[in-house]
Amino acid sequence: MKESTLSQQPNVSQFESHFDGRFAKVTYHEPSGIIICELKSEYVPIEHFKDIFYKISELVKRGISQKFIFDKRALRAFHQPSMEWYFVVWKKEMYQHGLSLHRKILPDEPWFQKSVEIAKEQIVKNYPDTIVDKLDIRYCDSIQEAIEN
Amino acid sequence: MELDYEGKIISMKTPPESYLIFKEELKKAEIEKERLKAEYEEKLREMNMELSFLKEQISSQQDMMKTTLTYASRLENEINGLHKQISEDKKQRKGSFH
Repeated sequence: MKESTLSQQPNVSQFESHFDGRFAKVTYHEPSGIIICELKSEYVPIEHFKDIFYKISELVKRGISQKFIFDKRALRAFHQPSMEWYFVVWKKEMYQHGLSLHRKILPDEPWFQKSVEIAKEQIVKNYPDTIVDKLDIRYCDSIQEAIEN
Repeated sequence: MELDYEGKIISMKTPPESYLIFKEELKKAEIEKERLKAEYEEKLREMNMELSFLKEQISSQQDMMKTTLTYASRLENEINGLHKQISEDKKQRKGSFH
């Protein structure tokens, strides 16, 4: 009985708002330790991108570090330096705070998905000491699916 | 000649009401002008910011295209190399049988 209560995942409506800005909306669910970052723009300039993730770091450092869901469906341009920083610096730092489960939701466009794949391949090649192999990264189709898996 | 309550002579006549109304309207117009100027400058600043975001987005999309095309070219070369190797292997096998 206790186990089933614990394994029950929250619904999107149960998430609290951390901030809602021009480029992103970040919500979290403290009991389950899940953070959701929904990008709202086709493109996020790097300084704003970093700012979003510094704000998310506050939550992770507070112990909300079970799972991070990154909804990139609004994106239409993949900014390589931003993604490099996210991948190499931010993820590594957050891993040290206990965040190892990452769920991603990509735009439907296959060309975008392919670009992400190519860019990721390049990052892994350029930064062989990344902690990517220690992370549990999965791609999902919806936020609810990402919460549940 | 007009006198004030102490009996002093007032040399200047009180300005006509229309002048006071005009002065008041002028003041209002100046305040409105300043407000519109500030609003216009703010909109211009926002537009310039959006424009710089768009420029960044275009440049980022161009980089994406470059990366993808480089990747596709590399794949094409690898496939061509593989085809060449397969046909050479076929030739060699044929040569060894006959």
